[in-house]
Amino acid sequence: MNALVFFSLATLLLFSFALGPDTALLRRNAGGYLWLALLLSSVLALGESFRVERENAALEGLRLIPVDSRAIFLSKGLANAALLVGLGVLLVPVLVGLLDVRLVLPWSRLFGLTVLGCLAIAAPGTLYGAIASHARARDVLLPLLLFPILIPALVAAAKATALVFEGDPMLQFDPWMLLLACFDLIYWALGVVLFPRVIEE
Amino acid sequence: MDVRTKRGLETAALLAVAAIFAYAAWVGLVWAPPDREMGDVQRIMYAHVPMVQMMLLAGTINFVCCVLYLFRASWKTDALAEASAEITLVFGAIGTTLGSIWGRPTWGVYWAWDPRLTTVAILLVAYAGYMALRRFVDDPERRAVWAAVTGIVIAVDVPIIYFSVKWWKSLHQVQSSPRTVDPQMVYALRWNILAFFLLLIVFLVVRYRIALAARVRETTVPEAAPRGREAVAS
Amino acid sequence: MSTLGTVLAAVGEGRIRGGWEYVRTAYGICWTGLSLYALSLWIRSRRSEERK
Repeated sequence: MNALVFFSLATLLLFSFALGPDTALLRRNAGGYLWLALLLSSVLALGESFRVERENAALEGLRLIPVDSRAIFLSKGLANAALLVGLGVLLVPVLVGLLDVRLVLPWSRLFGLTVLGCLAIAAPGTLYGAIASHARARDVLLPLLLFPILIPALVAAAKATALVFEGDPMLQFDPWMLLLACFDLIYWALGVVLFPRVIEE
Repeated sequence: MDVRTKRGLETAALLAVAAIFAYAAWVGLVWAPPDREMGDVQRIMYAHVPMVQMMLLAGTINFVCCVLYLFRASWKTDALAEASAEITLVFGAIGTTLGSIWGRPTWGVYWAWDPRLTTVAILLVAYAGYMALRRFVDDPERRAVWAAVTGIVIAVDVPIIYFSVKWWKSLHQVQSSPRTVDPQMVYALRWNILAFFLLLIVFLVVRYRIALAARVRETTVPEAAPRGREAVAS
Repeated sequence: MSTLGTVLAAVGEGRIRGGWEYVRTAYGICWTGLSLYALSLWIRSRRSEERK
């Protein structure tokens, strides 16, 4: 967990340096950086989540317990989501400090947005994490599979976060949240249906 | 039908496809009139539009195979899924490149964050991931199941991606592609669509055979069917 | 009406002139790409037949 925190902080720093000291530019894109940092960190988190089990052949053990594989998906997925939310919560004050962003919309909205966004990452992430952990080149495969799928969620989350930081005169926040919520609904449902097939023997 | 006759028929079919392709190319490049606004650059459309349409068709075939495989495991379905995914990638890459070349003289840019263009670009990366997955999983049955899952996840995402990008860009004007109304242009387009469709079929059949042969080689007993939910020897 | 004539000449037909280099590049890429893929399919098909 510590490594994850430091990795995400390092990513934020990297973005700040890579994109130059123009604070106005950095502030405007802060929403994007937050979600990019979370996305990159998620790959590590998801990889870890399945690595422990793979090394101990625990997945096979899990299958022996009379637990519904769908329950496994839900618990793993929610755990991953919770981890990412925690990370997100940690990163916001860093963002405020580093990039001089201000919360124009209430922080409850940002929190809700973070939850929806992390759920969006966790659903296909857990599904693909299970697949990738049993394939070769797993460290490359997971992001390669996951990132294209998450682009709509990334767009929605980054846009909505930018609105939180800059204000929302045209009331676009709720529609983006709706998009994120729909994405979550679809992919959690898909995950519940498909995960059993992924881990069955 | 013996091998000789089969070979003969296949060669004849290939020649027919080549002839149609050549005719369609001539119709598009020489016979069709230049566009009122785009001039001769319009002719790129006769290759670009069919390519992208066939890419979408191949992608749809892949999706259907993926769903089918999860209901009824069969090496044939898996082989077709593999073939159609690769062809989606090839046709999509070429089609997008053609569109990009067309865009330079008409839109003034090689690329625009147009919803359709962006969605296709994301789709291509996604299918590249699909092909990578197939390459990195050694067990044939697991590979088939996981590829099917991945194909479904990709397909479900396509409309979401399109909608989100459309929205993302909604503040900016989006160029719409021109509609060919001139009957001569319609004729040229139709022939090219037919030509590329036949090409798609040819490529699919060949690639399918390669995939199926590989599947047969990988399983110890040639007649073994994958152990799916309702495994059917096929 | 020579001024009108001058204006019209400056505005042009509103059509892209020429552009055959684009057409040539596009079709070149299309045919080359498809040929290369067809070649790759043929080679793999051969190899597949031999292994049988």
